[in-house]
Amino acid sequence: MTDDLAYTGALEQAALVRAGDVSPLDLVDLYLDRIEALNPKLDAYLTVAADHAREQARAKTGATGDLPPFHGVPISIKDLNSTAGIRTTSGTAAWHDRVPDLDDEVVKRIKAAGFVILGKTNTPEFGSRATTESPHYPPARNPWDTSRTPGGSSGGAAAACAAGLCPIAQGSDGGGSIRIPSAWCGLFGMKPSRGRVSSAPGIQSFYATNGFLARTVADSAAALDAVAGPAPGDAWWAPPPARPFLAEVGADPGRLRIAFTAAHPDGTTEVAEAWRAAVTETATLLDSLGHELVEDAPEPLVLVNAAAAAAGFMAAADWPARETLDPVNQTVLAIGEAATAKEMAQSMIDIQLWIRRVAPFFERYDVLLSPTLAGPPPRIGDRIMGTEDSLDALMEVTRLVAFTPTWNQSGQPAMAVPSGFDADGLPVSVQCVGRAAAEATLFRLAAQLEAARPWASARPPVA
Amino acid sequence: MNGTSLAFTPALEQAELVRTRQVSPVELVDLYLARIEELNPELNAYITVAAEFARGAALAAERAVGAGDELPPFHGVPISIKDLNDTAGIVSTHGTAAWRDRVPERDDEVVARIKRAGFVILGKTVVPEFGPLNVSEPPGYPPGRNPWDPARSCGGSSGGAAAAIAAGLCPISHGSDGGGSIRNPAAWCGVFGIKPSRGRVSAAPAPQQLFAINGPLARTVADAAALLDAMAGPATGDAWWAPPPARPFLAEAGADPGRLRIAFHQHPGVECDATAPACRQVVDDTAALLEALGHTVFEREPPVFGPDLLALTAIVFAASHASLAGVRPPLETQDPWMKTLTELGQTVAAADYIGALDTIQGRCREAVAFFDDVDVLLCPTVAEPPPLVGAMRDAGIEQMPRFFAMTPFTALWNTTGQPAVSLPLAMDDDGLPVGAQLVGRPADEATLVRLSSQLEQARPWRDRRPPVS
Repeated sequence: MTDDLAYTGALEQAALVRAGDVSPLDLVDLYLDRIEALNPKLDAYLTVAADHAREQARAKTGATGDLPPFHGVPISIKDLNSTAGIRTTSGTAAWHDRVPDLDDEVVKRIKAAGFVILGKTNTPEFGSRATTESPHYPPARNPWDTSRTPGGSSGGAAAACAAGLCPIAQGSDGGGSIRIPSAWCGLFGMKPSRGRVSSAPGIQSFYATNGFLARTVADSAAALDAVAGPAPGDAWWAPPPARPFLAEVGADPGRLRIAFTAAHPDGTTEVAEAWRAAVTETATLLDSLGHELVEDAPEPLVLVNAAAAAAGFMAAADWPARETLDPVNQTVLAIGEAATAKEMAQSMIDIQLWIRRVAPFFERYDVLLSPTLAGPPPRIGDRIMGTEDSLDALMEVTRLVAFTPTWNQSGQPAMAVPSGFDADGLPVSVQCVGRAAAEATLFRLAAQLEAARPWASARPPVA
Repeated sequence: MNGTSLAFTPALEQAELVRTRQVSPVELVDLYLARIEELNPELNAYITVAAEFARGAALAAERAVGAGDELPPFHGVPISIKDLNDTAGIVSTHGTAAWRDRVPERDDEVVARIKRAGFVILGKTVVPEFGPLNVSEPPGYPPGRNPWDPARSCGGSSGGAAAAIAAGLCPISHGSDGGGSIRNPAAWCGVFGIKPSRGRVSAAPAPQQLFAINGPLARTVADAAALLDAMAGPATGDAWWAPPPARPFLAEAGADPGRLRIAFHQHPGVECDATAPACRQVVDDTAALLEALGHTVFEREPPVFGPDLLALTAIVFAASHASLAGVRPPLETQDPWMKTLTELGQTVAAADYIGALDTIQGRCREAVAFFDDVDVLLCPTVAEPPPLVGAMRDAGIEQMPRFFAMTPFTALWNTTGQPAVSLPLAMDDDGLPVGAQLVGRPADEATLVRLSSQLEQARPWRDRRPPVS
C-alpha cells in the first residue's frame, strides 16, 4: 500500500473496494500505520479505535451485492459525537474514560453508509474554541506547520484528513468549526443548512450542524447525502433537496450573481494580504467562468447575541464540575448562569430579526464570496491558551474567524474552498455562502472551482 | 338563496358564486356587516369591525370581476383576522387595553397572503390579551361569547374567530394556535380548525415560533385546506420552515385516505376533573366510525403532557412574553395572567429556560416515536364543555393547572410541532358542540385533510346552526 492510496478520495476508495482492487482491511491497516507514525506529531486523533476498525473492516471484506456508497471506506469521527463502544471525551477532562452505549444519529448513518470508523478526532472542550486545545489533552497541530493550530473545533478532523490519516472526516460547525479548520488545513469544508443533518438524540441546535471535511467536493456531497434528512422528533428540518447533492457535482451552475467582499465584518480588523488576494483572484476566476460579480456585503452580525446564546446553552448543559473545565468555558458558564430567561429569549428574537434583515441580501445574490478567515493560523500556546489573558486571546482568535459564525446564525449553507497558499506555504481559503437550504448551488459552484484550480494533490510537510 | 343561507355558505362556494357573478363581493360584505351589527353586541366575536375598509375592498373586488381579470381563489370572499396579527390601516389591539387605538402601517405576512388570495377582511376577532389563554376575555373589552350558549366562552385564543364562523358572521376565519388556540375554540363553537405543522406558515415579520403557528378555522374541510394553501410557505428570512407538501392541501380534500392505522385515547394525563362523558363518547363513536370506514383502529395512549411538561412550558411561554415586555404596554395595565406570566419570565434563570427547552424537545422525540407505526392519533379536543364567561377572570398563572385541565389534549402537539385538527363531530345533551382531535405525523397535514374530509362526508356538520345566528 502506498501513500498515494492514503490520499485517494473516499468515493474512489469505495470504487476500489467494490472492484476488489483493495480490501477494507487494506485501507484500515494503511491508515492505522500512518496514524501510528504521524499522530504523535499532530495529535489529530484523541482516540484510535484500532480493534473496532479492524473488526469492522474484516466484516466488510468480501461483501458483494448491493453495497452502500462508502462500503469499507475509513472515516474519522469528531470527539463531540457519541460513538457506541468507542471512548468519547468531548474534550473534557472528567470524561476521559467515558464510553457511550449508543451512537449519535449521524454516526449511525455514517456506519449505514458503509464507513469504517478509525477513531475520534481532537476537539476543544465541548467545541467552544476556534482552535483545538484543551487543558487536559494535547493540542492538535497543523500538518502544514506543526507549530500552528489546525483551527477548531473540528481541528483534529482537519489535521487527520490533511495529513492522510483518513480520506474524509466527520465534523460539526456551530460558528465556523468545519470551515475554519478546513481553511487552515487546505481542505474543502461544507457547513450544511440549519436542519439538514439531525442532531438526534440531542435537541436540534439552532447554530450547530454536523458535516464533513473532505479532500474533494464529490466526497463531501456524497457524504452529506448519506447523513442528510430528519430523524423522528427533530423540531425542524431543512426542506429536502431536489436530487442528491452528488448529482450537483459537475452540473452546470448557470450564471450566478455573486457578491464579493474582502472587508472584515468588524470594519477595522485588517485582513491578511494573501486572504484578501484569494477573494480577488477567485472573483476574477468566477467572472471568467461567466458569473456576474458585484462587490457588496450584507449587514454584519452583532456578535454579542452569539455570546449570550452560547452562555445560556452552556449554563443549561449537564456538564462536569466547573473547576475541571477549560478556563474559557468556566467564564462562559459564569456569564450564562447570570443570564435570565428573558435575556435568552430576547437574544433568540434578536437573532431571528437579524436573519430577516440579512435574508433580502440573498434575494439579490445567489452567493456571497469572502475570505474564510482573516489570516493564517495562530501559533499554538503563545496566544491561544494564555492563562490570565485567555479571554483576550479568545477575542483575538474570534477576530480571525469573524467571517464564519454569521452563517450559523442565519442557518445558510456555507463552504470553505481551498484557494492556494500564502508566502509561508500555508493554505488560504475563500468562503462561499448560499441562500437558505441551497447547498445544491454551492456544490455546483465548488465543483466548478475545483475543476478550474484543483487542490486535492497538495500535500503538507507532515504527511 | 336567502341571506341567512348565503351567510352559512362555505367560502369556496361563495368564491364560485362571485366568479360566476351570481353574488357580488359587495353583497357578501353587506350581508355580513348587517349580521355583525345585529349579533356582535351579544357575542363580541369581533373586537373591531372594519366596515369601511371591507366595503372599499369589496368594491374593488367587484370591479375586478367586472373587468374579467384573472381572479385569485377566494376573490371577493369575506374573512375575519384574529386580533393578534397586525392589519395595515385596521386597529390591532392584541387584546390589550392600552392599544385600543393602535393602527399598524403594515400587514403581517400572513395577512398580506390572505389578501393576495382575494379575501376581503371584515374585521378583527377577539382574543385574550396577547393570546396565551383558552378563553377570549381581554380586560377592557367585552368578552367573547359562544353562539351555542352566550353564557359560555367561545374558547381561546382564537375564540372570536370560531364564534364568528359559527354564528354566520363570516364564512371562514384566520386564527393561530400555540397550545390549542385554534382547536379548542373550534371544538367549543362547532367548526373545523387546522393547527398546521411547525413552520408551515411564516410568522414574518416576527421571529418564527416553536409552538405557535397561524392557521385556518372554517365551516368545511375544503375551505380550511384551501385557506391553508393560501397561507403556507416560507417568507424570506424565516429561520426554519416546513417541507412543502406534494400537492395543494385542497387537492387532499375528498381524496381517498387509504387504509390508515389510527390509535385513540381519552386520558388527559394531568390531575384534573375526569374527561367529560361527551368528550369521551365522541372518541368512541369516531373510533367505531373509522373502523367501519376500513381503517385499523386501536386504543393506545401516547406519551402524555403531564404536570412536569406543563411547568416547563410555562417557563418557555413566560420567557417569550417577558422578552416582548419592552415593546408592550406597562405591566400594570395588563391583566393578572399576563402580568404574572411576564414576571415569571423576568426572574427565571436562562439556564432553567434552556433546560426547559432541552427537556421538552427530548420528550418530543418520545412523543413523535409514538407515530412510528401510527398514522393518526384520535383523542378528545377538549376535556370539558366551554366554561362560563367570567370563570377565569382575574386569574394569575398560579391557576394554570385549572386552565390546562379544560384543554389537556392539545398542547403536546404544539411542542412536537405536529399538525392537528379539531372536527365538530357531535353535540352533547345540552346542545353544545363536541370536538374530536386528529393528530398527524410531522409535516403531514395531507393525511389529516384526507381523513377529515372522509369524516365530514360520513358525519356532515355544516348545516348545524347555533341559537345565536
